[in-house]
Amino acid sequence: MSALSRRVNYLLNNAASVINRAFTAGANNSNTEKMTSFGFQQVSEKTKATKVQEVFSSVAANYDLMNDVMSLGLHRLWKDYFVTKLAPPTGSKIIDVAGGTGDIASRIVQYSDRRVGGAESSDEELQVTVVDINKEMLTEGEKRFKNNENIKWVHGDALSLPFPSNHFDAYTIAFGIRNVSNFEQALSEAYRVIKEGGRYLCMEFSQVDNIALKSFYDAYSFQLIPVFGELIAQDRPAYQYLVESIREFPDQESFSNMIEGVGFVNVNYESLLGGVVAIHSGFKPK
Amino acid sequence: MMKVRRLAVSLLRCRYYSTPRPHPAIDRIIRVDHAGEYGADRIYTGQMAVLGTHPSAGPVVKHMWEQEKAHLELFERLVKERRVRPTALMPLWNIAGYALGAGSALLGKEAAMACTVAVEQAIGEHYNDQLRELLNREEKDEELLKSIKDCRDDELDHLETGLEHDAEQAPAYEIFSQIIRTGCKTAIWLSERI
Amino acid sequence: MYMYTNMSSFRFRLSFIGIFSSVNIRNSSRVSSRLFCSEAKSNDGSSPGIDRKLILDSSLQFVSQYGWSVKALESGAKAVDFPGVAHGLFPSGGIELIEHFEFDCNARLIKYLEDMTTRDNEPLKGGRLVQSAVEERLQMLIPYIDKWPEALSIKAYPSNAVGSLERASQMFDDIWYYAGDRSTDFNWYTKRGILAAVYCTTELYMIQDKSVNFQDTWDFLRRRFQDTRTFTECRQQAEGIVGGAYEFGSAAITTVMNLVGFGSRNR
Repeated sequence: MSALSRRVNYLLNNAASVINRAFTAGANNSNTEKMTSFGFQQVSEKTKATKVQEVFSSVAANYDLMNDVMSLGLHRLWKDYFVTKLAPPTGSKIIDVAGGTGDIASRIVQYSDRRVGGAESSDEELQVTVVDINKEMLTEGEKRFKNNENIKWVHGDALSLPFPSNHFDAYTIAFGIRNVSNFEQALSEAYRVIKEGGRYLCMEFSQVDNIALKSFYDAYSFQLIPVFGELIAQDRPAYQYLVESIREFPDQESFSNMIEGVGFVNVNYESLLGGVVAIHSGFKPK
Repeated sequence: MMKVRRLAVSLLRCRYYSTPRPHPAIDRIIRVDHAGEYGADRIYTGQMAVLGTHPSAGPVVKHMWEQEKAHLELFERLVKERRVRPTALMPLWNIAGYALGAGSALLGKEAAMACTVAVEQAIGEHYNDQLRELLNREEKDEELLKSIKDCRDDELDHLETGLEHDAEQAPAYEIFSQIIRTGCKTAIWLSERI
Repeated sequence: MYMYTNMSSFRFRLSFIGIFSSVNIRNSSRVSSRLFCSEAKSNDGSSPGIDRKLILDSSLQFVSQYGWSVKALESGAKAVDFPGVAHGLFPSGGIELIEHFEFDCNARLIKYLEDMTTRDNEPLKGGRLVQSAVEERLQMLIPYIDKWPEALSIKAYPSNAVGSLERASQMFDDIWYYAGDRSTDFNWYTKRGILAAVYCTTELYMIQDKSVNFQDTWDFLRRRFQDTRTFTECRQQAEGIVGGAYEFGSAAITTVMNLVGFGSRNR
């Protein structure tokens, strides 16, 4: 799928937003607010935050369905793998940011329950704190896991976490970082709240290297996903945004450099499925 | 597939090993050169076994053989000093070299010279490649560079000598030469790795 | 909704993902060594990042309790005031702890070899040094001998086998180098191969030896070295016989050719 045909598709499907962009392009360039990407549009950071809120508020109820559609069910495997990579020991305090519906948090708790831990004392239990900026997503999660005492649900912003510094053993964020208005700020906050020696683990859609896979992936993303969004959730723009935000996200190396830039060390990444998903990992030095 | 990207490595001295081992590239270069000189020595041994008493070719082959022996001693010394792993295919080059030398000499003096020319051509190219590789490295290994240059010059002399002594008159010279050159390249490739 | 109900189906899914994953280790401190060459990275904390060696050293004390596992790494991390999740610094898990231990042992072995060859009072060399070095190296396993069978099985996994072979090859090369071997032919391989056979069989004997101070193991080792000496003597005798037969045959042929008239008189 060439860049040109991708652009043509986008124009035909989103004439309204294109016209809006044409009228506001000048306005955006002339003001001094920091710009960021909202899909293929350039918007101010404040605007992005609002727009992202709108997207997720509208998809909250069907979030799982949306994920299944976008990834053909693979997101479950990826999340399982993500938690296995973290392999949280008992007694850890973990913060899961942008994890509204509790996918990762519940997996972490289940992983911990399954680990061989007969011989050790269970004085300290695993604690997972789920933070999300979107109230609807959090409510959905609380509804599903209300009986789980190990999970706490907090309404908060990834850019300004309501926790003290050096508090958590690990920070996880799965498919959430691309929705944040300012990556560096989110990373700095992560650095702040993690304990020394603690781990930062981020899973996100990333850039595909393999050419054959890339053409199939582009076709699937831009042709099929918005259509499914229209059919299943009657919300094509939300799905269009989601697909575009993936393309605008920095590639594996650039994001690794950002993570290192904030202060994390021993940074590496693992690409799954040829780069469709990448898990970045870093540690806070002592 | 696990793709592990290695950082630039710290060579030789590391906190785990106080005995210097050669850099993999140097190890490979010295190993293949040692194998090559050993093979050349065996080729000339084979040729001398048949042509040793030949009035014109005998002394020529003997002279070239003496020079190859000196090269072999040089590389043996380098293998010992630099702690290089010798190739595991030494017994194979022993037999193959002797067979090639004796076999080509049995086909006649011209064929023996043609064999010499073909082998020296392949070795000459190979030494030139190695010199390029060594010159591209950051740390220049002067001793190794000089050794390889001297050997390369001698090999090219042997090539000239072979041509002077009617190598091209050998039967099926082109094919014969091509086969031997290919064989040498294969031997070089194998000795670098095994 | 969440489909995994037991760990076996969980692991199946993981192996499926694993086929499609590729890892980029940007700051890898794992020592990767080429066969018989050195290509090792410093692991002493001088490179930027968390001091992995500190955690690895601390984890060794937990091996007898938890084996060569992620649990030992977690406990080791906690023992030096790191959060348990710091075991993520070692994505390959137990094998990294085994690697660290083996590198440490090999470094101590080299120190021993240097001391034995340079001491004033009867420096060792040749076969005696080899024998004493093997014994010294096997003694380093004693504190972890209960969990060593587990280590051997982890080292035998396909993904770990090449690395373990390289480490072992380097160790045998070190021993022979200090013993004075400077072979430039196939003997280089024969010597190291025989040493490998002796070492590995003795190691296997040792892990099931229950005698006091592993005396049976040392007796076993001594017998293996005796075998190699016997083998070498046999080989030399055989070579003598074969060489003699060759010379005899060659002399006989030359005599016949001279008698018949085909022999060359221009010698």
